[in-house]
Amino acid sequence: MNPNSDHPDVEQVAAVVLRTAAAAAHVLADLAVRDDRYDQLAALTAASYATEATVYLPLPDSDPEDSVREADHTLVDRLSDLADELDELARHSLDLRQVRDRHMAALHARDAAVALRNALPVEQGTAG
Amino acid sequence: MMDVTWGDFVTLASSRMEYALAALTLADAESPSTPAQHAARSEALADVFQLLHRYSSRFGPLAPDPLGIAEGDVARLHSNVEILGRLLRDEAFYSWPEPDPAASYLAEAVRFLRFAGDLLASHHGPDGEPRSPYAAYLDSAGVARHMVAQTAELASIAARVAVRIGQLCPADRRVIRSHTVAYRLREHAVLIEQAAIGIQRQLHSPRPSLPAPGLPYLPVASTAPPPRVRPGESQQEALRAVGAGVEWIAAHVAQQASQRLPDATVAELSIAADHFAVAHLLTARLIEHTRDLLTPDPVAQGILDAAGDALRAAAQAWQQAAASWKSGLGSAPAGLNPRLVREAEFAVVRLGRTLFSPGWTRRDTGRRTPRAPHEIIAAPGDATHLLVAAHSVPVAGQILAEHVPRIAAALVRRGALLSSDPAHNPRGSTPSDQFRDGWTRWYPASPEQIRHITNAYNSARQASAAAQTTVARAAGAAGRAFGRAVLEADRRSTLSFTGDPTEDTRRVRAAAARARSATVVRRPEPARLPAHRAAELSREVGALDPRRRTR
Repeated sequence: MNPNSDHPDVEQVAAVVLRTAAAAAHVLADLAVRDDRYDQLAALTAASYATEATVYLPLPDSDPEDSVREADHTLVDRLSDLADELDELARHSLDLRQVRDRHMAALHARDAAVALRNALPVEQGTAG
Repeated sequence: MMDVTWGDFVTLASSRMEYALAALTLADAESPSTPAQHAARSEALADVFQLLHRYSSRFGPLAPDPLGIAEGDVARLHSNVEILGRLLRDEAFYSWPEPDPAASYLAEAVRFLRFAGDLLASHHGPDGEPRSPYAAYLDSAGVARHMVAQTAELASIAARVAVRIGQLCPADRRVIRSHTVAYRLREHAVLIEQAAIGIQRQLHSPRPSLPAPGLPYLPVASTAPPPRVRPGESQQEALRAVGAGVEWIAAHVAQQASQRLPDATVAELSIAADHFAVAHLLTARLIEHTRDLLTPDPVAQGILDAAGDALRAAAQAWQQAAASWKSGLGSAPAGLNPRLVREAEFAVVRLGRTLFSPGWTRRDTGRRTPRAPHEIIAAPGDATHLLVAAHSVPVAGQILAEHVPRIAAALVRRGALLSSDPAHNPRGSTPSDQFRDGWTRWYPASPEQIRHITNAYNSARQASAAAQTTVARAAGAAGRAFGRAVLEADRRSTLSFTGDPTEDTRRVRAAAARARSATVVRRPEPARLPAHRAAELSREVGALDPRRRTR
C-alpha cells in the first residue's frame, strides 16, 4: 500500500493485470465467434472471473496498457503467478478481512487463468 | 461472568464515536485539519457507515411491519447512510491517511462494530441456514425493529462526526471543494438525523404508524429468487428455475434503475453482462443441438436454426456490452453485492448442466461433448420446458439491457462511477496527480464517458429482442406455441433511452411498477356477491357513512 516503498505492490500489479486479462478475454471471445479454434464460452468465463477478482483488490494506481493485448500463454502464466503471490501475501496478512480478500482474489485469478487457457486454441496450448 | 453481547460492542462503538466527536469538537474551527488527517478520519468513518449500511440492508426490509417503523424512515436511513459512506470513501482518497486521535477512536469504533457483526453473523451458516436457535429470532420483525433503531442511533452519532469532518475539511487550491464537501456531508447527515428521530418516535409511541410508500426505495426486488443450484436437480426443475432466476434479475434491475443511488458496481454489471452472453450462447447451442428432436419438419427446423442464430448474435452483442465497461472505469470499493451476479451465474450453470452433464460447472470448458439430444428431451414435457427457458433468457436480457444505461447514468450523476482517465478530470489534470508512471487518482466519471456503454447496451437490447421474437416463432413452428403469459413480454415497449432525464425517469418508474405488479403474488379476488345482496350491502354501508348521515 505504501507508494514510497521500492518493491512493487502485489495487489496493485494484480489489479492492473486482471483488468488487462478481462479485456483480452473479451477480444478472444470476439475472435471465437468466427474462429472455431477459440472457445467463446471459456473466454467469457475468464472475463467474468478476472472481473470478479478485481472486486477484492483496490482500484489500480496506474492504468492498464492502452493497447488491448492479445491473450496468450504469457498472460495465463502471469495470472497464475500473481495468484500464488496473492495467496502468499494473504498468508502474511494480519487483518482477517485482508486475508479473506487476498485469498478470494487469488482464487478467482487462478480460475481466470484456467478459463483463459481453456479458451486458447489447443495446438497453441501444447506448444506453449 | 457474563459473555459479551452484541449490545456491549455497540455501546463500546458508540462511546468511541462520541470520543471522536468530542476530539473533533475541541479542534479549533479556524485551523482546519491537514489533508492527511482528513483522509484518515474520513476513511475510518466511511468504514463505520459501510458497516451500518450492512445492518440497515439486513434488517431494514424486515422491520417495517404494520406496528413497526415507517418504511419511509427506514429507506431514508438506508440510502443516506450509503451515500454518506460513499462520499467519505471518496474523501479518503484525497491524501495519504495519517491517523490522529480522532481517527483512531473511529478506527476502534469500526473494530467494535465488526466484532458485533461477526457475533450476529455466527448464527447463520454461509448459505443462510440457521446455526443456532437464535437464528429464527434474529429474523423476526421485533428484533429487526430493535436493530434498525440501534443502527439509526449509531448513524446519527456518525453523521454528527461527518458534519464536523466536513467543517474541518482542509482548504487548499480547491477552496470551493471544501465548501461543497461540508455542504454535502451536512445535507445527508440532516436526513439521517430526521430518520433517526422518526424511528425513535415511532418505537416509543403506542400508536401504530401506517406503512409509508417507501417500499420501492428498499433495494430488494419483490419477487423471490428461485432456490440455489443443488447437485441432484432434475432437468425440469433446473429449466424452470432458469426462467424464475432471470425473471428475478429483470425485476431487480428495474427496481435498481428507479433508485436515486443504485446499489450496483461496475464489476457487478460487467460480470452480469458476461453471464448473459454465456446464457444466450448456451440456449443457442441447446436449440441447435436438439433441433432434430424438437421437430421433424424441415421448414420448422429452418426457423429453429434462425432462432439459434439470433441467440448467437445476441450473445455477441452481450459480450460487447460486457467489454464496453472499459478498464478505465471503476466504482468505489463497496464489496461485491452478490445477488445479481449469483442469480445470473446460477442460470448459466443450470443451462450448462442441461447441455453438457449434471456435474458441469463454470470451471469446465464449452468444448466438452454435449449430452445426446434424446437424453435432453426424454419426456414429452421436456421440449416445452426447454423452449420456455430459452425464451426467458432473451426476455430478461432485454429488460437488463434496457435498464443498465439508466443505472450507469444515475451512478455518474451521484459521482459513484469513477474514471481514471485524466482527460476527463473535471478539475483539470495537474502534475501532482501523477504518481509513479501513471495517473493515481480516480475521478467522478462524466456523462460522455458512458455514451459507448449506452450504445453497446442498446444493441444488446435489440439483439435480445430479436432473439426472443424468433424463439417464440420457433416454438410455434415446433408445435409448442407459448401461452399468453409467456408472450406478454413480447409486447413490452422497449424504447431506447431518450437522454431526457425526466422522460427516462418516468418510463423507468412505470417499468419498475409494472415489474412489481407482475411479480407480486396477488390473492385471488373473492367471488362476487349476488346482485341483491350487493345492493343491500351498499345501502347498509351508506347508512353508516357519517357524511351521508348528516345530509
